[in-house]
Amino acid sequence: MRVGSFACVATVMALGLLLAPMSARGGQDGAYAPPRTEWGDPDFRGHYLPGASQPMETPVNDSWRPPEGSNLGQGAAFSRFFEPDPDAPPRAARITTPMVVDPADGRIPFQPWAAEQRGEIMARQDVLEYLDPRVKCLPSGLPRAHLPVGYNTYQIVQIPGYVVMLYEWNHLYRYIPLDGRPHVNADIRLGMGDSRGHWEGNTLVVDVTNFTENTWVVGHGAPPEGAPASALTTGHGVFHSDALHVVERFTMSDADTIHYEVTIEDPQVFTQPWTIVFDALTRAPEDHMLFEYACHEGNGRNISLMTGTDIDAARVHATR
Amino acid sequence: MPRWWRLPCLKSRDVVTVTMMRVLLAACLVCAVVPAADAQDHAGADPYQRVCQLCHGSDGRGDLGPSLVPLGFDADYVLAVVREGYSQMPPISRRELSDDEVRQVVAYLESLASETAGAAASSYDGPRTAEGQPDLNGIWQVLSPAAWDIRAHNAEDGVPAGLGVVEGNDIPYQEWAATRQQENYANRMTADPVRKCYLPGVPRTTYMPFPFRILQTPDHVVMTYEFAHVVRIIYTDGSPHPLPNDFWMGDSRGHWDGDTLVVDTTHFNDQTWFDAAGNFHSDALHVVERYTPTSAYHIDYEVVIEDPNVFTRPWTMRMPLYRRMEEGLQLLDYDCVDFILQSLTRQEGGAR
Repeated sequence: MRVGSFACVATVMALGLLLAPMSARGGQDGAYAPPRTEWGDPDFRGHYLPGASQPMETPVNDSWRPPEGSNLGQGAAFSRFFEPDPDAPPRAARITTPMVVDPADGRIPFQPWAAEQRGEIMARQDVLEYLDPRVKCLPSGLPRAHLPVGYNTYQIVQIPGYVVMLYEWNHLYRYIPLDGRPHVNADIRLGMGDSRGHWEGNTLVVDVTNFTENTWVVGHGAPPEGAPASALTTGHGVFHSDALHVVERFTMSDADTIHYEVTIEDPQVFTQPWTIVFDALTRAPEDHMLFEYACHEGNGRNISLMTGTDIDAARVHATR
Repeated sequence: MPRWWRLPCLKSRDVVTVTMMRVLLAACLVCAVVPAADAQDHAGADPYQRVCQLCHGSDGRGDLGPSLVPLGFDADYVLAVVREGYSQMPPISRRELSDDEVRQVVAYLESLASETAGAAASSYDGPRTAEGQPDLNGIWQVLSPAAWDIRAHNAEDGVPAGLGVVEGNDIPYQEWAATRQQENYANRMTADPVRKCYLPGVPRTTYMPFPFRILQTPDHVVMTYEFAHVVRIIYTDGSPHPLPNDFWMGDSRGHWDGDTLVVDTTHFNDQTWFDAAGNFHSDALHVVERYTPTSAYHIDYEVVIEDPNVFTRPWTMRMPLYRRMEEGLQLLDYDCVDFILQSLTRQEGGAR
């Protein structure tokens, strides 16, 4: 216990010493300037928890709005799981504005046929083919992998020339080379896409292409508390074509928060590029580590209950 | 928003315990690097000579019993083996050797290992990190049909023949386990967990016929595999295995022994196989991997497998890892689950 108290005092003092010059240094326009890695890149390294939950779109077709002070699906179990300390202050204020900032109406700009297709997808979630790809344990794709869900955490690793993002959910990862190399051949398709990054000041800009058609663009883990399924404020069912092009901008807004701005372009599905903005990553407690998230291994019964299909037996009769 | 409440010292008592464990572990590491002249003065030297030396040799390098240098097991594990016995080794009571003495012996054996590690000349002439360790960053692959069968085997339809990667080509199964392996082999087309796209386990993930990428930092090494986007995060910061949970890929803790990355992995489930030929283990599996780079392009990969529920003694696999040299190479996808879903959609005549 004495060791703990000493470490505490020492850490607080060290933090004070570290933070004073950092905040004084600041960035341009008073923006937060993150520390630098040994080789001079902005230092995003560390473990992160998902950011606060937030509705995807402005709800339409019903009168439902996120109730004032509601927890938007971020239930008590979530808070307790990640913040076991009873003395911890409550989480940041709930955000009720939609993530979609462009177009200005806060709606995903579907082409009419695509809006219809989305409705069809959501109405047929008991059919394997239409079922949420993440429920099938396929890769989340992007930017969905950064949407807040209570059972995902993240680790960012940096080495010279690369930023690497590790996702606890379904043990996904992506390497983001920073050397300006071109994307892989257009015939190559990747669940998490093909990422190419560069720094613009303190912002990591990542250009992602070469997606499969197996992912949804966005989607929360659960609809906000009290929201009827018809509200579709969760971003579920937002499919895309193989022409999907995603541009992400990661910026540290303070020592513990990574702000995420992402523009989604797919001329086959949407009428215009659209942009969503939210705080995607919140620094995790010191002792956080990513655990194994074995998704498919325990999913057979789940899929069987939802769709009546036995995926574990799928290749049992294969002779290849 | 202030984050002071997230500091370890201000959090719940289990975090304090972990912090204390880390301090203790750091203390252990300090005592593990005592210089050679002090080795005989080591508190663990006397109990070792009194109880262990008869079988394990005066220098810990084996005699009737196996070599204990380098040890590769943590003190709790050694304590359990000492109390319960293992294979030919009889149980040893607390009267003969107290718990404290066992821990002293472990520290003593670790000190012997670090002496020789310092003395052993490494042939490695490749790049090194700022911390002085061999720089293993890059994409690697095993070139061997071990994924199909780790023992010597002839070719089958779609399976290349191989000389095997098991030392002596002998997996020392207990009698019941040898029978079970033969059943697994007979049923392999339906029973192999990898055919169901389950995580391949350790060390099978290493020698799947796919590349993997090593991402090396000062306090951990991340291994990412193309097959089923498997990830292993190997902490090299001296942290111990956490409280037991079962994982498909186990819990990996590593350290550098000279130029060798030693990875100790425990906390497995009993669901994975070593290959597609039905070689298997229980949840008592303990894997010690040694990654020894011999040049910028080659790593000697040695794996010691131990599982007292299935084998009569520990056994060893050995194979080289080759650095993939293609310009612009990157890991691509082998999303096994998607192939299952595609085959189902075909079976159902679904439109896609």
